[in-house]
Amino acid sequence: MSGLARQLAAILAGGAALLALALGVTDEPLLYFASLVLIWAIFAIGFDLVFGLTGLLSFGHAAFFGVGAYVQALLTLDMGWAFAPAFGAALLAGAGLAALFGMFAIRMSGVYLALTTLALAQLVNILVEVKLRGLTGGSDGLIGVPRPEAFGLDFYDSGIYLAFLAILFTIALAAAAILRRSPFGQVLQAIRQNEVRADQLGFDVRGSKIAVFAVSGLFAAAAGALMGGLTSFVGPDMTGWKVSGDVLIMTILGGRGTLLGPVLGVLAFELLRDVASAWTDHWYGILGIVFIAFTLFLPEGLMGGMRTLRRAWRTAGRGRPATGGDAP
Amino acid sequence: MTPDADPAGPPLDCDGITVRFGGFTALDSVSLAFPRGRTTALIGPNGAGKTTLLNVLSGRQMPGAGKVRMAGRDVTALGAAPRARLGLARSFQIISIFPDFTVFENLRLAAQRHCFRRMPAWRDAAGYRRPRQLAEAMLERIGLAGRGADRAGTLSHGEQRAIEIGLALVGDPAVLLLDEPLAGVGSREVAPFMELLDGICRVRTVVLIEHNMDAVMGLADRVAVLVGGRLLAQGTPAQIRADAEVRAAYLGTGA
Repeated sequence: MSGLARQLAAILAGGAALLALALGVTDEPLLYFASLVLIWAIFAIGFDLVFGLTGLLSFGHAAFFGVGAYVQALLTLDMGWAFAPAFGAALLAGAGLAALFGMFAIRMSGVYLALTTLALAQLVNILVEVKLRGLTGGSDGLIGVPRPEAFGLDFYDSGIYLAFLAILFTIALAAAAILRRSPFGQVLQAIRQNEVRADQLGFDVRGSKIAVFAVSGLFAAAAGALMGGLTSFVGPDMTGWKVSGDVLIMTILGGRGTLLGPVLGVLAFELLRDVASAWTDHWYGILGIVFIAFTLFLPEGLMGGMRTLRRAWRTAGRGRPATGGDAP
Repeated sequence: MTPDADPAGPPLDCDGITVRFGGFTALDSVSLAFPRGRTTALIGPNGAGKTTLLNVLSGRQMPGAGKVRMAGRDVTALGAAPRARLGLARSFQIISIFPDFTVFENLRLAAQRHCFRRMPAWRDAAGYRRPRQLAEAMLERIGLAGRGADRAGTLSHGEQRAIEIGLALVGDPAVLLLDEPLAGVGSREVAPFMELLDGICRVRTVVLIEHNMDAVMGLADRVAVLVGGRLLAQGTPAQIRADAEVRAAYLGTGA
């Protein structure tokens, strides 16, 4: 079995386990927590295609997330569309907007790219909150975003909605796994490692960057649309810079450039939020300390830490004393 | 084969190339034709404009004036990637590879460009036969057959130099620009490298920058001498060696 086939089998098994969890658990807070994690995980997996795989620091992904949420909400609430076609439109809107961001992004790199995407996302934020108030409800947002109605299932049951999310999450993870290993994914990784050489070899660097932005925006929009369904609410904060920052922090915590890193990062982030926000309103301060500790001691995130541990374990298994890995 | 045998013009030539960086003239109206199947060496002291000329030829540097043509077609306005797709490859003086990829993945990446017009996104890159075969053949050719699974960044300088050349060589480019292919290669590794380069230069249109004069005289069919951004002389290696002006300017009168 090839590496990818093994990976896909593991993803499928993980998806089945999630499905079992969704249908077996009745604890409402746990179901809500798991739903939140899966939605953010879809977002972070997509974000890492731009950030970890291609090496482009975007600080504007909230725009795609938010646009997905608003398109889904407006089409279902105002236009009376069913969930599925509205979801398709939301994905296209996210991908299209991201491609537009990508066209700006190909002209710069590093912190300039981050600031440009931030500025563009803030424009979207202002549009949503102020300029298009009549359409978007301004700072009140839109209430009552519907969930799907299909197969005679009650998607308002938390377990059913989580099962639905588990299926979409599994599809998203599998798609990202394939994309990373595909010839296109190889080119993206090449651009991250050495853009000049990728260009000199004849690859379309700009086109590839725009394309990966579009794919990434599609993931983000899916997450946004699903979030609206989860909370039945869509608000302008979903297009705000904090969302862009959160997904960035999640990805770094988990380990950028890896398939599962963003997922782990989301889990750690949401666990921390859950625990810390129970006893302080200033839990972002705690997150900040954790984040600084990670950048100092675990720059490759949880995935990097696990790799170090595994290496130490193997070394120990060969009869030599473990030296405790790279991190102090 | 003579240069005149090309009805469309030589595979690569440039005309009146001038490049200025601020007040400094890096290249001053340089015109050169690179005949098919021949190796042309660019020599000259440091700062003579050799690498700048290579950058102009490969599309990394826009000239302030002048034209670059490939087989008679004006490619001056094209960037490096479209020129590469027209069959022009280059290696870099400072090693420029993909350090996180394995050696095999480096070469397979280069091969991908010759196998797909649009990169497929929904299938494992390992599942395609032709890129794999091209990469494996190149591994063998550059003498790294046993190192395919190693991360490229962990290899020795000489081995990375071999990858550097392998990346340019995959897909059999019509024109190959080599910027100091022996730079940093240890004296023990020079012999296999010369063998590799000799095999390359024998059958291809090559533009070669190299400071190792033995290598230049052994590999080149023609030599062009750049000094201070100007073309001082060109001719066969023997002619250049005998040219008093060149000796004074570059080779040293005692040579």
